[in-house]
Amino acid sequence: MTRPEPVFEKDRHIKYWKRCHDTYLPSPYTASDSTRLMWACFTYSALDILHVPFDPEDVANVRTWVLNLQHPQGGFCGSPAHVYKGQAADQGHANLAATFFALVLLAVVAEHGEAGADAYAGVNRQQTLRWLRRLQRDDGSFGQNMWDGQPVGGRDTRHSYLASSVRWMLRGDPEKGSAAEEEDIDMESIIRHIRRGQTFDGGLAEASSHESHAGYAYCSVAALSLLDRPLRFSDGTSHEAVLRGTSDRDHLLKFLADRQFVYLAQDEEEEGVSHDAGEENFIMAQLDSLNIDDSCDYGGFNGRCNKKADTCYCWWAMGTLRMLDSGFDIGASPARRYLLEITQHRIGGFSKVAGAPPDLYHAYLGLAGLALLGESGIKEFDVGLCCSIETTAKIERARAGLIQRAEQDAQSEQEDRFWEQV
Amino acid sequence: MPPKKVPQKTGKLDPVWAKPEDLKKPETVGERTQQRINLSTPYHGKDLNDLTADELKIYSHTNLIKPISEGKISLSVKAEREFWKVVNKEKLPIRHVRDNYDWGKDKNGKDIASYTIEELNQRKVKQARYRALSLFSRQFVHLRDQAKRQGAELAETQIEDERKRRREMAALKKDLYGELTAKLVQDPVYDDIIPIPMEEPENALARIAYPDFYAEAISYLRAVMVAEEYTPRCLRITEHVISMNPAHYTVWLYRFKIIQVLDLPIPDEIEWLNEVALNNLKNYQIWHHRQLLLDYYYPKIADDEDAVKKLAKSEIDFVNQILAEDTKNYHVWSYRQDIVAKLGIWTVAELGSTQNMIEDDVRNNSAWSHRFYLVFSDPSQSTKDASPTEHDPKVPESIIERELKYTRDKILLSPQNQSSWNYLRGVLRKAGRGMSTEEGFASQFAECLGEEGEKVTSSHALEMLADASVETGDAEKATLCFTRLAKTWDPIREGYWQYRISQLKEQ
Repeated sequence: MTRPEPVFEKDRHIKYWKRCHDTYLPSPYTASDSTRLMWACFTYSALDILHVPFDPEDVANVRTWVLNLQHPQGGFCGSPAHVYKGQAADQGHANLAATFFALVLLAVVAEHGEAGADAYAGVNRQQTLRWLRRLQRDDGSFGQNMWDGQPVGGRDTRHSYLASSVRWMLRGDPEKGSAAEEEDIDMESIIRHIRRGQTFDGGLAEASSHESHAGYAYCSVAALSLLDRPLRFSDGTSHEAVLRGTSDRDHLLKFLADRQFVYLAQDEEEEGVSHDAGEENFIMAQLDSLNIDDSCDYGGFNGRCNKKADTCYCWWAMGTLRMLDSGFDIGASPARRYLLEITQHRIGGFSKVAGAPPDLYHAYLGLAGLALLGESGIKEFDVGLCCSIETTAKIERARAGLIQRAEQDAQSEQEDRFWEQV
Repeated sequence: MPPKKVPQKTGKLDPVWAKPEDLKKPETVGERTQQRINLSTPYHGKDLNDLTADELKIYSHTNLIKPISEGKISLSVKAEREFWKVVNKEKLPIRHVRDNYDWGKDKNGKDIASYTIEELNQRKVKQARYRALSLFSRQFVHLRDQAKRQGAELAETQIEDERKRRREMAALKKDLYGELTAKLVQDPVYDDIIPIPMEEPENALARIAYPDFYAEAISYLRAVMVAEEYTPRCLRITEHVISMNPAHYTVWLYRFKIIQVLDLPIPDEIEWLNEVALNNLKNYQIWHHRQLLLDYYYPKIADDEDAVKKLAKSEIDFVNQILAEDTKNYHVWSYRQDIVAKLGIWTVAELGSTQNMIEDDVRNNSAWSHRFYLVFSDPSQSTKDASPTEHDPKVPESIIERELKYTRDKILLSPQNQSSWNYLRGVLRKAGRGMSTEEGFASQFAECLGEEGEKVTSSHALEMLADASVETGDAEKATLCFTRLAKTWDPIREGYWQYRISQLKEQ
């Protein structure tokens, strides 16, 4: 007997995201008040990948709100709580994650085609790229913000990823000597730093002394992949930095392939109620039951060995494999069934685990996971920047527009001076 | 004979139009009001045709004197005397209670008219108390300003009294009207801070239903941060903000700076942080803050061996306390790895405490990872900065053997537990030994491969057999193992196993 195909409840997801768009996020989100730009970006990007058009008035509002978060010395602040106006404006603090989400969000709501060349109008490219360089430490890692003239925050590869992405979104490749030319980050040291993160079991972490983690693996590999990405994504990607930044590729592939496991829906559900000891581990299937035809129904993913399944690791693990050009497929159909039948929520969105309420983070990364699996009804997805390929194209145009404007401004300034001199 | 009951003289005579229910003791405020309306407006609401001539007279006189008794018409002195004479004689009511009087509702939406008289009295006492307190509070501000002008400050007791007063006022306000008073304005030490609210336009993105007074706390934090003030009161503001939003990315840095500027004892801060960490298990900033504190504190005590040992012990104790509640907390384990290196905790006790966690849950991969780090990065028995996946000749053979035995024992306990298999592979790499050296051990979990009666109790053992065969160049056996994994023993990774087979062909 074949089971019915699981259904992607697109309309419910749209409803979920529209609700997130229209109403207040519940108070537990206060703990992520400093990353409101992330929630805003997820909301608009989710609607975008679900083919929901934006209202022009709303787009203008998004632009105003986002640009208001820009710091005069480059970068974007995470939320209005970190922004000062007037004379105190310099006292706010731009944050790397916020800057990444601001740039993606401005592109998400930008117009298609040439009209989108202005999408980054108002973004202080020069200051932001200089701020980005200041955020890099001697060991190659990046801080999340500046404090007393120093980069601060952890050294993990989330920051490497965000830095590499911001660099790709803004830097471009202006001609040597052009007014838009900006000095680059230290490429060698960022690669070295990431390379030092491979652990004894082949996975990646902030440092090889830590436990391997699929989330950090994604960040490390995506950071490397974006360092090499050509200015036009459609031109294909070089793998040089990825190869140089991962010391043992085969081992890493094994670590990533191991993130998927047979998810025993019924047993997990029962254990969820009983709260037994060892609830931190996923329930292992009996090996001799695996050859029954439908035993591979659900393919859950964890981020670390033996941990329980979690929606977002479907994205982190599959995405990393995709960027590594792994040459094999993981269990796509069980992964899809897991997402759609286990954590896809009745009211739309995805929850972290079965039975939990949906939240924006898992709702977005659930969609991202499905996008990688080629779900129809979701736009084609950029595995590196975690947005639609369309948005990536808009980023490219916006960057070109920004660079062109910088060059023109410099030229007209020069011309002005010429007349002054005459 | 008992004495005859004499009706008590009340000093006022009940008007003739009073109905019995108007004279009994009222239960509720509303009832009392109704009685007063009834007594002050004779025969109101009655059909005039039903009234007797006397009643009609009283009715019309009551209405006629209204404009005069209310002062709307003024009379000559003589006429006024006449007027009052008649009023007195007929006992007409000269004041009237509005018959649509609304007592309003209390904070719970309960009509105050339904209060008992006693309840209303209590409420009035509270209102009076509130008014009195506000007067004192205003006086406090006045006195403080005066003192300040003279370059003096008020006594701490006066400030404490004011703090209590404001707390009581806040409580009364909440009790009476259900209105909440913001936290920081209740403390006079913050009076001179001019809060800088965050700008939040109506159509802002990703709006959050903030808890009460989060916006207040943030606006005070913004003000003191911009003023670059580093004082104890600012420390309390940071604590207040952290209690609502521990992931705020600059509040921790600011707090750290206050500690530096005021040169506060780091152990006190760590103790405070312990509480916060226990309440926010999944938070990352807390552990980053702890790391900053340690980086700052350690050089001060680095020369004192006992002090370092004491610190190492208290840190590990706390880490263990957290891990007892959350056995795989990633931030905590990462922190543990960092302090092992920093404070030199390459001890038997540390290995033992990690081992206990593996004994409790043999699938705790965090504990296994920590063990690997402890064993193979211990500077006394390993090469500095050696890659974790490479052969390290400096690791003593006895250690390798101990680790292999330990791991094999744990595999026998739970053959399908991948953590211990990964560990085994890791040990072999460190030892510079091939997977094939464990072929004998792994074989017991995979019998009669490819034959009738095939029995596999660990897919990881089968994978190790495959890798051993790859090593020894036995492509046929490797293919068999991979195929059996793909088809039967680990079909969810079929794509990966097929890929491994295709790799064999390339070689």
